[in-house]
Amino acid sequence: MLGLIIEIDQSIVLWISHLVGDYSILDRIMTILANDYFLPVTISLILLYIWYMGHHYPERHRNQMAVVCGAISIGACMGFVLIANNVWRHPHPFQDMPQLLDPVTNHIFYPVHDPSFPSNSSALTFAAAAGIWQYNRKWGLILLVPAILMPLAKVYAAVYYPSDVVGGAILGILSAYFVGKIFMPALHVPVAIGIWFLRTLRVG
Amino acid sequence: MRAWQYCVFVFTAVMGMLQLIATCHQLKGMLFIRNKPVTLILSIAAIAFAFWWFFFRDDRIDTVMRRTGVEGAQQFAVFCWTTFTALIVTLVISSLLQKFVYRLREGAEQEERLEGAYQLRYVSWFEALKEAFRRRDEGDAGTHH
Repeated sequence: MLGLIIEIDQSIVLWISHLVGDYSILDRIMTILANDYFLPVTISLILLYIWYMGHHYPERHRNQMAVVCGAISIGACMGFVLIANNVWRHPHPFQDMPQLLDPVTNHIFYPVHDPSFPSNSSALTFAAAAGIWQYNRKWGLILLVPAILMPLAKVYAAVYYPSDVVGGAILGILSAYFVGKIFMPALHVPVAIGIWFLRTLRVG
Repeated sequence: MRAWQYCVFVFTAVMGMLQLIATCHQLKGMLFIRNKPVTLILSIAAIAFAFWWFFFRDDRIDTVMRRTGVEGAQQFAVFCWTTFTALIVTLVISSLLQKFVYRLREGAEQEERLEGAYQLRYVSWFEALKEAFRRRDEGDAGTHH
């Protein structure tokens, strides 16, 4: 079963990586999307916008809870990724297929050192989107766009296999679900105190 | 990639985003410039400039960013601290501007009573904080009597 998944993964990566170098505009877009800073900062700026959004108190409170849920989900899923990385070290596509290293990975991104499974960028972006989605469906769906684009760009750069991305996405969504349904209700008093404190300081 | 470059990028982008938020949600107490179209253009320009400067100045996206730069946890910490600093700087500058230039308080008493950041629709951050502490003191005094 694992062999079959690896085989499918490798054929998808090989098929996608054939596109690298053919279209310079596509390569440029993927370079920006795969970047370590571009989408994470964009997502954070969107979270900042959501924090202040809403015309009435209940709407604003819901949006602030969405941001808190998204932020805690990101932290939680990063912890789970760290644990998973220590349990299983899966090589990257450019390590399994060294012929992709120079023409593909170095052309779009750079060879990363941490384990491939699960994809941490996929986990982070999906945790943010799923965390927000639990309180605000519209903005959750909007955040799904960068959540899909960043891991897709990394598959294009032969940095991750599709299964790494899917694994990261599942981990991110499960982290957000865990935070939204278990962590936030269980710790609603400290969360409420935190929001009350920020509101008293007139920043929330 | 150096951490200070990331700090400058985040600081500028967050300042721009806060002005955009202030103008979109009519948080006049947080605005630097009271003219909506001008603030809208300048805030979007600040965000765009921050992104351009960080990624494309000296072709960083194709050079230094091809090596491991600011590590994930460090990136998160720097982002949080820089955002906090940008927020405080925005609130202090806008409060000083409201106090010495715009005199926002005029006519504010007739408006609805708002909680949290939305009080910045009618008063500056300094005045909102002062009112928050005054209300708390009144509450304390009420409990003692």
